[in-house]
Amino acid sequence: MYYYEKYFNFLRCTIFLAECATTSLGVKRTPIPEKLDNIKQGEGIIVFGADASIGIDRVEVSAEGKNHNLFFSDGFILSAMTEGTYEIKKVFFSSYRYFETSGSAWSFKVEKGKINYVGHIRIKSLKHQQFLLDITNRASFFYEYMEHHHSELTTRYPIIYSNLFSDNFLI
Amino acid sequence: MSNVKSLLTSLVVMFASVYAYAGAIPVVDLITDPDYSSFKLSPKSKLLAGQGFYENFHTIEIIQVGKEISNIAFKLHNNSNSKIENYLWLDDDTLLVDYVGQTGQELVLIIDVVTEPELNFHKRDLLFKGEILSVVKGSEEVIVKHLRYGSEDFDLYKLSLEDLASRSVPEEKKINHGEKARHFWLDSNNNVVMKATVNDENRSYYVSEDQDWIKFFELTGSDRFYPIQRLSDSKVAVLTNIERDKVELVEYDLLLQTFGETLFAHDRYDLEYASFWGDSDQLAFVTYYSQGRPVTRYFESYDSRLAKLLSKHFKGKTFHVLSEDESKKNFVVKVFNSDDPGYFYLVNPKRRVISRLAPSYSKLQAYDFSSTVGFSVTNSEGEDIEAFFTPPVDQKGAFPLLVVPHGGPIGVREFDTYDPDLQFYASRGYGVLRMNFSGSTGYGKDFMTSGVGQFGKKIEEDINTVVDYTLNKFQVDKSKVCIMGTSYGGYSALMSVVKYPQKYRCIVSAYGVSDIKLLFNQSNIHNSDEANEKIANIAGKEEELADHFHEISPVYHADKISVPVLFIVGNLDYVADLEHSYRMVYLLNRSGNSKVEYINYLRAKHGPENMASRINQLIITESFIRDALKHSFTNSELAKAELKQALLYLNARNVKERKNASTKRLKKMIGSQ
Repeated sequence: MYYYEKYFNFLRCTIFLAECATTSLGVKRTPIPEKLDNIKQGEGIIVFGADASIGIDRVEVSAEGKNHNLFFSDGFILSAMTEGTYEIKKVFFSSYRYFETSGSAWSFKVEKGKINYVGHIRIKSLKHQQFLLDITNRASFFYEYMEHHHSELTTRYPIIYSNLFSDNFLI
Repeated sequence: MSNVKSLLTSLVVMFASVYAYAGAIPVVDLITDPDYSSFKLSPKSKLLAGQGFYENFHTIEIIQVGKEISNIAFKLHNNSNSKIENYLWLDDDTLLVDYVGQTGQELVLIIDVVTEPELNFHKRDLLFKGEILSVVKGSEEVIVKHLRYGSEDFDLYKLSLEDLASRSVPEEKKINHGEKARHFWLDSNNNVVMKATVNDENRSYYVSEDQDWIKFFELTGSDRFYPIQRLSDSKVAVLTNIERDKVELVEYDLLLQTFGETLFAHDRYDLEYASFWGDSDQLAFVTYYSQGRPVTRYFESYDSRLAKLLSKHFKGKTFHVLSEDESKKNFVVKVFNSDDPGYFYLVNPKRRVISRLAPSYSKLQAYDFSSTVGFSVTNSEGEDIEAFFTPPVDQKGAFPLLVVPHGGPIGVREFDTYDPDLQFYASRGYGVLRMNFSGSTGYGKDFMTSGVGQFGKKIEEDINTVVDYTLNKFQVDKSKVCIMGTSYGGYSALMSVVKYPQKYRCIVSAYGVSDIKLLFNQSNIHNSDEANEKIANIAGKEEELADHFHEISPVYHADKISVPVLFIVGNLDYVADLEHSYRMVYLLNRSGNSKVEYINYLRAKHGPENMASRINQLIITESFIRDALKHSFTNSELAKAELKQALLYLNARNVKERKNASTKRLKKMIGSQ
């Protein structure tokens, strides 16, 4: 394993500063987890985790031209989303500062009637004002979180991994 | 630093034995920078320069040869930026020190040494970006390697001291005609005779012909090809394993572009390096590792006389020639071994005089070390597996054994040389066992590739074969055997307990892997097709492993582990993500079959981030094993002091969760000492 390190090409993102009043754009806020007990027909639950050396405020995802802002609480996002394919567009680390992402590596599917673990958003600071941003598979942390905070949900809905990882852990 | 002056008196070799302490060696004495790391003779052996480390300063010390006089000429405060890159004698009175300052500035220090009426120095610093490679004999010029901005390639320049001082690199002083390159080969007159360029997929080699470069070889894949010497207009000597199993020294025909006569080959080991005399086609020496020890085989020459003298006086020890004067009469040699951190000597083979200079680590002179025993065991396929057993220093009766599989697992190997970590455990009463299982490098391509895709299979079977042999051969307490490792070694420790649960009483998995499938699907960015191909070259192809992921991944066998486990992870580890260890922790805690400790070092990547972190991990690991095996070592005061030191480190924002099972255990152990 030791020798892999040099081959990994990290995505290095430079801090991007932008003036955008996100809450005034009329996009939907993340429903609070308590209201997830009864998700609507055609919806699934998505879960994001965060592993960052800087605080992550929210994630902006889009589907069919419509943007959704998903807010972190205690290091996780839980949200009911209509089934379909979404793309992560921006990762905000304050109200106005964000990393912009693009490409198929940032696209995930939501299946209805299931808990869809998308992954942990990881931001690590490197030297020279550069950051590493990716979605990493931290399924054990996700399971531990669900067990401690939303065990009821896990008994009602099956858990699946998003298309970003074809994992078998505990499935 | 104990200046070397008192040791410089010439003496015919005859060393009195001194009393040495055989108990636990304090970890801070073992894991430290060396007092001296190298010495260089001036051209006419008038002066010696020694590079070292003293009270948090990098140092350059100047010694008058034949007189008991020395002094530190340069001190550089140690921080994350500062380092001495190189130092070279320009002439018998002038030393150049190429270094990086505390703020990251690249500098060259010129030290003019005055010896009369007393040893003194006149110094001047120059700002200069580049690396000084060598001095042009008989001139005041140096060969400098200059990194081009935004590139990993270099240009070579021949520069005077005035050029260095001008802070710009004059283009007309460039000596590598044509495009820049990654590697250059110079002859004794500093003409560039070969070069290599590197891109993502291949490495191209060129020879110089009338101000032109002629490409003579392109290397793709993982084979070895390394030019050593231009032998003639049509031939180059190269170290290669192409068209053969082992790395051999072979002639390569530039015109026919084919391999020719084998100049030297070892029947069991890959060659590591070779050297010719000057620009000639006369082979001077080859090097390889035999049973883990570095071997230099000299051919008839002055060096052969030096080798004979040193072999006679330092029986069974390894020696490296670090420096020689221009007459090749005087040499600086480092002598070391698995039980000897090393000592520097000034040697004149013609007069048969060996003078002691200084030890690598002066504090370690007071201690006894364990000497490693090398042996071979035949595996199920009839292949020899070399293994290395380091017994406890002060062996009294049966002792606990630590089995330590190496990382990699492909293309990595163990050595039988001085290793402070091994001595740390040996001085605390443990025997330590290491081995070069299938996949290790140094034994040819076939042996190395035989380990590919053998996670949880042939590799762990090899380890088990060596462990069985050791348990029968040495006086091991079979009820006190633990297995530990880093990276692949961490995986292997877990998997060995899954496969052979009766053998082991505890596990330490540091920066380890637990789920092979996770290697291929850890990240949406890192796991590119290219990165996954590299992983497949080691672990096997993902599609071929698909039906076996459960079988070869410890995480799916967590219920079979019932012994205490310590996991050490790096918060910034992108090689073996901490998820590997945390999956195991999650499942082991859920099963409740074993005691689990988990430490996440905040700033660590795929290993300890600095010396303090390394020291902490050693203390945590040893104390965990000691607790699991109910072992003890004699110096309880030292044990207690080190546990307190480790606890302080854990409480000082160096780990993610400061209140964890390890800190609780440390407190309990401190209380019971």
